[in-house]
Amino acid sequence: MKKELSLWVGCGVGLILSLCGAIGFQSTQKNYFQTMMTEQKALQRNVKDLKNDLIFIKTHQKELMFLTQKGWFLPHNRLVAAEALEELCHALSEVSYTFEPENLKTIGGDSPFKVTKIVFEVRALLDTDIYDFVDRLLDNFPGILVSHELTLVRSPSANEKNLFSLSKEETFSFMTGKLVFEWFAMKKQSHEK
Amino acid sequence: MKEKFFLHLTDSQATLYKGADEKIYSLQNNFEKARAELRAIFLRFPKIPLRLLVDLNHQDIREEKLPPLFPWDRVRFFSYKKAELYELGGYVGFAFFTQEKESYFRWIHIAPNNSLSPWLSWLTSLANPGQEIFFVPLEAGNFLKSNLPFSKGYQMLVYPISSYENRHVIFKGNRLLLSRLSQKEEDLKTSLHFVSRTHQDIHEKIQVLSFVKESLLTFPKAKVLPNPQTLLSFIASQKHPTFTLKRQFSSKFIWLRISIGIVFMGLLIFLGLHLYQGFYFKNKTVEVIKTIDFLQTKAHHLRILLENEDVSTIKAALTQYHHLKSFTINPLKIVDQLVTLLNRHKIRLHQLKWYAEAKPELIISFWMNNKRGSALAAQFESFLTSCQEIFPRSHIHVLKAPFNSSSHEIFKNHADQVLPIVQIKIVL
Repeated sequence: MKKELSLWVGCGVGLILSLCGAIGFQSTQKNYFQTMMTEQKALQRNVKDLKNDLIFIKTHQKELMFLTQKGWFLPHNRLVAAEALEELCHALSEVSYTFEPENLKTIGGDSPFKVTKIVFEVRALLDTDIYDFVDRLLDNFPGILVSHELTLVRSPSANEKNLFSLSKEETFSFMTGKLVFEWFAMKKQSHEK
Repeated sequence: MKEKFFLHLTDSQATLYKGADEKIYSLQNNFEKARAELRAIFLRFPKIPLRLLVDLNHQDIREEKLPPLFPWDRVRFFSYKKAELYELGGYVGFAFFTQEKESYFRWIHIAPNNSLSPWLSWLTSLANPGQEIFFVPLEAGNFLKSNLPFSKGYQMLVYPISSYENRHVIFKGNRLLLSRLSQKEEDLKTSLHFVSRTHQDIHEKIQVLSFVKESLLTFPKAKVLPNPQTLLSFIASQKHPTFTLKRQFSSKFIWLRISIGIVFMGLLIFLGLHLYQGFYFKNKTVEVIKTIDFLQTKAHHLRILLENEDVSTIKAALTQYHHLKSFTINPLKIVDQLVTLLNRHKIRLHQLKWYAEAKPELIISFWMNNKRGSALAAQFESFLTSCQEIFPRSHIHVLKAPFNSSSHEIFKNHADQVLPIVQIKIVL
């Protein structure tokens, strides 16, 4: 009887100890599994974000090239801009331009842009010369230009004096104009700070 | 060997040995007296283990060949058999064994009126530890195996029980085919003849081990051992008996045992469940770790591809650019439309102003082609209609008309060649 009792007690103690061990084992494995699952989910999100970034860059490759060429990511360089303007304005009789100080401008309540206003005073024989100039300027200016104002005025009618000047290949202009553009660039907030 | 008592019981004699060789008590026939005297001895040595060696005539050791059974059917068979034997009362022992791909069920039942029963009850009342019961004919099987070369055939042991009686036991492997007392050589031949009815090859395949020299007359090839005490020494050296006897459970404790058993089963199931879950989570974790490794490799690869790209800046830049683009208007497109309008009416523009405000505005000034009042009105009306066609969603304001002909206006006109001028504002 004593032997049987000790057997039962031994089995009971062994069983309880095994149970404690099993509960501990299960709990440890479960916690470890949950930690691993959390890490896996975080990694999945990370991989998804990276994939999206890669797809985004591939999809917008042309735009990025365009913006990089246009100096969208860089501070304004007026000397480079002036150099480019010299090459663009040869069809006009007279050109003078003014770069105003750079300002911050918000459009539509979104992030601000760095904006430099450029005012051109031009004179040309024909209005088409001015339109061509505007067209070439919008395409070839080393930056993102947005037209703000365009004023063209025809000079008094041609008279003998004017025609005489023209026949002698002196510069003469029938059209005068004032062109106002805004030169936009991205404002890098972190960089600015 | 640790010192032990061995109580050797035969039908006529009870002999007590201390160790395997030292005989310290022996009494014939009067077992009541023997038990009383032995109790007195054991009371003096209560801590020395005691073993009971049973060598009685009617021990009722039975064997049954089982048909092929599934494990659950075997359990059911066992429970039925157990219930049947416990119903009869007394002491019961069971064992399964397999031989030559056949299953056998061996059992022994010591009924309450059996001559061994008083000994077993007496034994349990003693304080001495051990108290294991060895059935000598069964243990003889192991003795044969250790003293004869291995054989798949039959093995026989002949040993003396008393000065005038011998016991012979015949085994085939683990199976006990026969256990009988014999007085003469004729008895051995009869036993062999009896067994040969079911095992025809016994005469050719039998190996004999004997403590009785007279056996050589029947079995000239028998191996003869000189000292019968060797068998007792062999059984004394065994750790456990071949067969365990159990007394029927007392009904007093049955329910307690069942309850504890149920609790243990519950705990075992609980334990199993937790172990299963633990291993399940472990296996799943291994799979997740593999996935994590794969994802880490993938992420590393993607990071290498994006190494020189400041994606957040690029995204911000593109967003800003697209936002700016949505507010941008190209004035040349409006000029193109205007040229169409002017060409249609052969008008020469004097001045053009375009503003990119919240709503872009276009102000144009030009000279009319005609100065004559009636033609001038029609010409101007036609121009306005065309203007509305070319800029369909715009608002057109006449800032300066070529004439002031209403009755409430001052109408002035010069009699010269200067053409009248018009100024129009178009809100696009």
